[in-house]
Amino acid sequence: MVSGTRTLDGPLGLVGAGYIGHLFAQQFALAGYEVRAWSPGTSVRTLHDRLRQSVSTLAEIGVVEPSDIDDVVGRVSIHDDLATALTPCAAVMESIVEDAEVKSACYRDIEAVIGAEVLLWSATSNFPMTQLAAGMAHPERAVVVHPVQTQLIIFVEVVAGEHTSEETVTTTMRFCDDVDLRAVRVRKEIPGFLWNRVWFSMLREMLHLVDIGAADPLELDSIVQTTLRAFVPVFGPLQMTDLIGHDTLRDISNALYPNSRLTEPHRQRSNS
Amino acid sequence: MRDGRLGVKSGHGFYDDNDQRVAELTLKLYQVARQLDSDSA
Repeated sequence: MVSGTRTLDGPLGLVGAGYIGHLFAQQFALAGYEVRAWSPGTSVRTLHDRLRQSVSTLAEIGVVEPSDIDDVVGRVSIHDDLATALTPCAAVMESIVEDAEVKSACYRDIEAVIGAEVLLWSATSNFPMTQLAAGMAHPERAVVVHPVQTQLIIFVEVVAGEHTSEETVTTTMRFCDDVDLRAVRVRKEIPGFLWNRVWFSMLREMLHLVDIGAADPLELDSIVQTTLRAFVPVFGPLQMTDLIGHDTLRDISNALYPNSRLTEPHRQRSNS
Repeated sequence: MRDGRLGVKSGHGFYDDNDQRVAELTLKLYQVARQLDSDSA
C-alpha cells in the first residue's frame, strides 16, 4: 500500500495523538511516509500500541499484509519535545483539543521550530483557519484538513483561510492523493464546513423529535437507517431531488421551514 | 415550474441523467427495496 508518488519531500509531523491523530498517523504511515509524533498530553505514549492494534485489524480484513505491520508501525516515531519531532518535517498535522485559543497558541509554538515553507494542517472540525491563524507569522501555509471518519478516515475537507495561499491548498490536495485520502475542497470558509452541517441538520431534527415525544429513539434510528439504505446507494440526495422535482421539494421545505425559505429551484448542473 | 421531476423533464436539475439512466437507477431502487424487504423478513 506504499504510494509511489511523493508530493512532500520529508517526514510528517504529528501534533496530538488522540483518536484523530492516530487515524492520520496510520494513513500517512500506510502510504509510506515517516511520521514524527508529539503530543501536549500523554496520548503519544500509547500511540504505538494503538497503531499496532488498528493496523493488525486492517491486516485481518486484507488491507495490509501481515508481514508489513511492523514496517507501518515503525514509520511512526515518538518524541518527547516539539522541536525534536518537527524540525525535519515537510508538513505538520495538528489534532489537539478543539479549543481555538489552545490551537492558536500551539501554532505559534510550531512555527518557532519549523521552516517558513513547511505546511501546517489543522484537523479542527469547527474553527475557521482565518481565526486560528490570526497570530501566525506565515498564515499562508495553514489550511484546515478536517477528517470525516468512522474507524477510518472516509474523506477530508480542505478549507482555506483568508490568507491561505493557493499553493498550500493545491499541494495539500496532491498530498491527500498520495496517501489515498479523498479530499474535498470547501469553497467557502463556513463554520462546520460541509459534512457536519449536513449531518447535524439531520441529527438535530432527530433529537428534537425525540425530545418533543414525537418518536421513539430506536424506532427513529431504524427508519432512518432503512430509508437511507433504500436510496442513498442508488441516488445521492441531490440527485433524488432532480427526480422528485425541485419545485415540489421547495414547496415542502418552505411549508416545514417558513423562516428559511428556498426561493428559486436549484439549477446548477454537475459535470457527471 | 409545476412540471415535477424537473431535472428529468426539463433538464434543469443538478445531474445530466437521461431517460435511460433514470430508468436504470429506478430499477435499482426496486431491487434495493426488495432486498430490504427480504432482509427484514
